[in-house]
Amino acid sequence: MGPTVRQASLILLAALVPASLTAAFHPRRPVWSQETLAPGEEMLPTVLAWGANALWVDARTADEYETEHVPGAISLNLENWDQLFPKFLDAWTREKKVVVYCSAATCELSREVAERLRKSGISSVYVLKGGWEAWKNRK
Amino acid sequence: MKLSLFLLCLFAGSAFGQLAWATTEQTFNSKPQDKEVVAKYKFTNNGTKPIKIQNVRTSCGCTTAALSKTDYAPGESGEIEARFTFSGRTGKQEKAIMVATSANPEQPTVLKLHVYIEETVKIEPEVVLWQVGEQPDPKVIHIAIANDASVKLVSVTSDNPAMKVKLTEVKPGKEYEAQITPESVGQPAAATLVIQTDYPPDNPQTKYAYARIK
Amino acid sequence: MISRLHFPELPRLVKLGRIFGRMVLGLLFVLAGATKAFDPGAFAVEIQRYHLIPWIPGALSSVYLPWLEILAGALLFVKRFEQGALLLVTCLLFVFTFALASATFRGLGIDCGCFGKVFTATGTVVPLIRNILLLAFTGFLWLGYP
Repeated sequence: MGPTVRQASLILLAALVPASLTAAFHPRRPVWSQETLAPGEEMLPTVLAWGANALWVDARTADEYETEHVPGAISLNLENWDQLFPKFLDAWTREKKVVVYCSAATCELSREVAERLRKSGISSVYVLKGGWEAWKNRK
Repeated sequence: MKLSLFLLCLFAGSAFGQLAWATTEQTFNSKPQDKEVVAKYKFTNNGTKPIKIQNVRTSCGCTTAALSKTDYAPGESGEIEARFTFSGRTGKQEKAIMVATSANPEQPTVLKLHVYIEETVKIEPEVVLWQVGEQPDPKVIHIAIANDASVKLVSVTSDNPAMKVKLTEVKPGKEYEAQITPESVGQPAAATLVIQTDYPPDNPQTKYAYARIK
Repeated sequence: MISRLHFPELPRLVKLGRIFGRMVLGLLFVLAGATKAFDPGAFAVEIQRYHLIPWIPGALSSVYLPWLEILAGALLFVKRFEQGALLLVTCLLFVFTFALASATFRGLGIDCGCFGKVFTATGTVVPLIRNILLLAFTGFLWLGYP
């Protein structure tokens, strides 16, 4: 029992060496922070830093938009796409970075609207991580 | 001695008194006139203790999940009815329904619903753009009618006389090309292309594409 | 056991079987470890899909486990570390079997992730059965030691 466990312990320790190197240097190492950004997502502080270059898009329902929305945001959702998209196009220019948000971190609407915008040929489209909730809770 | 080493590694397995699902993933192909899909996920309590369904969450507001009751005795069966409303979505859709039970509150079971929502009329791209000062070359929008759809293209018109549209039939009744030519690209301009179909007869669908000079 | 009078060759065959089996097991683990060490980020995501541990422990496992598999698998070939390596391999098999069983019984439609993205097997049932057989085999190997 003794020698077997000792051998096993040595192997366990030895494996720590390549593991640490992997954790530090491997090009495909996992991201440690819990705040992993999916491709096409951006965090609120980054977006706020864009200032006037950001074009805000509210992917929520018309009611939610009417109640309150990010100042300057344009309403655009899948249900009323045909009515709302022209208004978006009027406000959009190539230099703008489009930021789409929906209610919270878990809703999918912003992703879907962002996807459709990208398909239409609009470049620089991002989804706000945390959504409307993140905006409301900003310090 | 060796046996105790063997057992040393034995991890206590979790009690497998879970809900057994007939299927956790369903796929549907929708027809052009469908507006939603309803999928039923059946389950049975195969454990020895009653199980309570604590929480059912969906990945988006477009999908609702309904349950007739929350508590299931051992041996009892039930089903979750998921309703996914399309609301203008098209293409490959995947929605998830997360079911958390008292047997497994931290690790919800994920039910998946795949729907391929056919686009009767596919417009690609939706937007054509010119930069001010660019060459006023014509740009093309491809219009395709889904294979088993009885939809016909009636007309494609531009609401801006300074942006002309020429429609050519690439594949009779199925594929078209709308060529848009701007008169001049000297200043910003906008045009909406109205793509008129004849289906459904009582309320024919109108689709849109956009041309912009920015 | 089975009479050595009737099958005088049996003990030698069993011994050869153990040597051969140990090497195959070792190779299997080195291969499994190598395919996962190639892309730890993807492995971390695969671990996440089992919904058994939070992200950080999963990410730590994704950089450590593959190397443990490679080392333990390789050292199955080295007499001095044979038993220690087998102990680790056995433990790893228990852990993987538990995870696969958990995923299977919860109806998670996930890929095993056993060989990284190199060999994608859909589902967890076949890997689960395979792992249980491997575990039984390690039992056979253990019996070979005094």
